Amino acid sequence: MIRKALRNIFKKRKTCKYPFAKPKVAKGFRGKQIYDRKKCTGCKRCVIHCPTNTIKFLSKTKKVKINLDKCIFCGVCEDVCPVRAILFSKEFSMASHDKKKLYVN
Amino acid sequence: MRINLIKKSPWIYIISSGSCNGCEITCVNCITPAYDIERLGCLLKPSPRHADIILLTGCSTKKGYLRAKRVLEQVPEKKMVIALGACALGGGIFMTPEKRRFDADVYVPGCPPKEEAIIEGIRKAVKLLEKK
Repeated sequence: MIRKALRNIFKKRKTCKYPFAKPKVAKGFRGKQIYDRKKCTGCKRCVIHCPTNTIKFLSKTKKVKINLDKCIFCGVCEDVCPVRAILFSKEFSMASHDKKKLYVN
Repeated sequence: MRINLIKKSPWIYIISSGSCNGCEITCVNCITPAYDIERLGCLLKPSPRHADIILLTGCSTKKGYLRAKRVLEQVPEKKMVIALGACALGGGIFMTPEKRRFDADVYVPGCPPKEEAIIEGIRKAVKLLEKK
């Protein structure tokens, strides 16, 4: 038992000190989307395939607006897009006081 | 230096208004040694009458809405409500109608949100609490 205790003392700490240090993010993590406005052709595929109807089509500019408040980050819009205009980044810190700021444009 | 950063140690209470239990599991992950939330002064409490910060999860179902509303009224003033997850924010995959949603002070999107994102949401709520 003393051996185990001594071994554990010199081990590295497992606690993630998040606000003071950078956290580890997994390889296939899907965070906030990156939307490329120039690449988007307005084909509406992501609007049709979205399971929660978060992606809105703006008929004036023929572009897309993603509301993050409903988004479940399933990754369908990235797979379905033919020109790869929507990509998932590894940014996870999206907490905000204002609900209206929670969208990708 | 780091100890001076903590001015208020909030007590936390989790309300589930009928969720899939994914958000609750990530909330409990925050207390485990991997993401130790108690080093920021937070403590999980079993009663809403002791709480400062409330973690609201879940799409509010017909019956869950009434229960969650009653529990929210029992929390003393100077409270902070954090809406966690896609369901509590905008309906999520269950598509809750707008009349059954709660107003919150801090919104944390994700399905479920990452543990670090919850810690960040709590930090923002603590900053608001100090101003009140």
